[in-house]
Amino acid sequence: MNVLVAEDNLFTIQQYKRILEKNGCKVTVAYDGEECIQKFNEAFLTLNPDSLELGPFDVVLIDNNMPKKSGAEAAKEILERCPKQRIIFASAYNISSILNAPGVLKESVEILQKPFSLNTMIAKIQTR
Amino acid sequence: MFRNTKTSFKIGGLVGIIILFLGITVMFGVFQMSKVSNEIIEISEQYTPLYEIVSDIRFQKSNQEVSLEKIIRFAETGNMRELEKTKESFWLSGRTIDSNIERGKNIVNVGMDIAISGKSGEEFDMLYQKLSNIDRIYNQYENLVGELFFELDNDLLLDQIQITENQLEIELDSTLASLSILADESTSQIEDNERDSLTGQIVIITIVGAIAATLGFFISQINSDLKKEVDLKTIELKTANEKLKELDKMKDEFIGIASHELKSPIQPILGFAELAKSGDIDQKEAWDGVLELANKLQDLANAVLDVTRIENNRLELQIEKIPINDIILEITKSQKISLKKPIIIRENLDENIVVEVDRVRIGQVFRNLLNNAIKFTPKGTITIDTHVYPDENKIQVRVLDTGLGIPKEVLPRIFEKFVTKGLKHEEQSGTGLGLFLCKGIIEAHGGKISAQNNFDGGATFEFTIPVVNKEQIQSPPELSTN
Repeated sequence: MNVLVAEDNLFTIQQYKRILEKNGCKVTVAYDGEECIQKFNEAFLTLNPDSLELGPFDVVLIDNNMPKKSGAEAAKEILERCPKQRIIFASAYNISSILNAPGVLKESVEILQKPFSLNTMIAKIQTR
Repeated sequence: MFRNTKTSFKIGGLVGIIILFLGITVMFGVFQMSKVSNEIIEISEQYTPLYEIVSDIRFQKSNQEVSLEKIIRFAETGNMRELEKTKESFWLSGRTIDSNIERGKNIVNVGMDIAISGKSGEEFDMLYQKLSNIDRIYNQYENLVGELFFELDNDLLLDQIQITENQLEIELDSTLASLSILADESTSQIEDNERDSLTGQIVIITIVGAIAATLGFFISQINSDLKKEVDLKTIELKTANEKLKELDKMKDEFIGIASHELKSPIQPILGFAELAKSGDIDQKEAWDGVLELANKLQDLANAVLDVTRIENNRLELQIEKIPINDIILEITKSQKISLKKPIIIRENLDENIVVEVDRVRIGQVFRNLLNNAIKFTPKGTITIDTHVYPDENKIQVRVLDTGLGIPKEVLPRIFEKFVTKGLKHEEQSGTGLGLFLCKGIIEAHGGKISAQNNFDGGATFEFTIPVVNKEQIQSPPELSTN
């Protein structure tokens, strides 16, 4: 699986990377909202024109509370480009308030409420 | 608050003065009127009965004259029965006249007691004199008539009686004339007095009215002042209320961010535990990570507590005397040892003057500034310099670096809470509260702190604190609302 992870906590992102790679995923990391969009766009350019809608990654895991651009803003931009891109939202915040904010997030994203077990995360990413 | 009391004093004073004036004038008017008119009225009330009494004397007197003529005639005709009867009636009239004179004198005496002004007193003296004359002449007359009754044909006595009668007549007439003049005078006096007091009342009312109008004018001016004051206060209150709302909002925001920050290390701590348990990372790495995160949590908790203390003006300083350079060198020494970047730390220190500060808190500020400089300087030089201004009782401490500088959008708000969170290179280690605490601590010492970018790159932080802490007790840091 090809996974994009956006998370500003260095420890957390290392842990994600380690467990995902152990489970055979190819991991791209971003440390803030802007970098997340940038990495996504880079991958988007290499896409096969047939699968543009699905997006370049199998899963994009986004933390909401990030510098420069929030997870919600990044997710919105990604969904505008690739409406069927699978996105998992990870946050310690009250997620429903983020999802109820104006936009198209509600239907399109899955949720992981922090703190969560890394195994739960793997399980969530692998179910489909 | 001073202006408030002033205005209410003004109004209270003016109202008091108005009431006092009104009271005094009304009292004065009433007293004056009652005094004068009472006297005059009482005096004039004496004249009428006096006039009646004297008239009655005259009437009885003429009765007696008639009786006397009848007696002489009855004596000539020898009608003794009628003669005795007429004699009786003569003496009866005489008693009436005597008692009338007595009453008249009493009335005059009362009048003398009432009379305050000299003129009325003299008038009553004169009346008393006249009554005495009447009394004297009448006694004479009665004596003569008494003698006559023994020898009714004594022509000499008759002549004398005739003379006395005439004298009495004259005296009675003159008394009546005087009395009628006096009564007229007193009537016109009462009228004069009423006119005078009416004039007086009008004058008093006019004066009081003028005073009241003047005071009213002042009061209306004070009132408009007061209105302005109230308006001003209302605006002040509104502003204060808005400020409070803003502060409240800021506090909520702070609690929101702080609690989120306090929660955020939980995820990586759980991650470390999970990975170590499953053997995906080695124990040392996991423990190191957990330790670092625990330390960070502790730092954050301490910082949040300090923020609360500073915002509530409850930051307690343990002031002691210590050479400033000792604080600085102790910190730079330990930083140099643990330095992992190609950075030179240079001290360029002025006289090692003894300052009165909280050494732990000032050390915290300096360490924070030095750590920031190291954090945002990949390589280069960090210069610490101090400058003592003995005349101004202050010392300046500067930390200059050749690093990345402060982003333009952040610089104006650099000493606020959580502003620096998420800056590039800020990475994991910051709480976002360090500089806010620095400002609070320096201001609690009565000093100032500022930050700027250098022309040739890097940033400079500087703080100035008093050498001798005059206040000892911290001055509260102003609540930053901007």
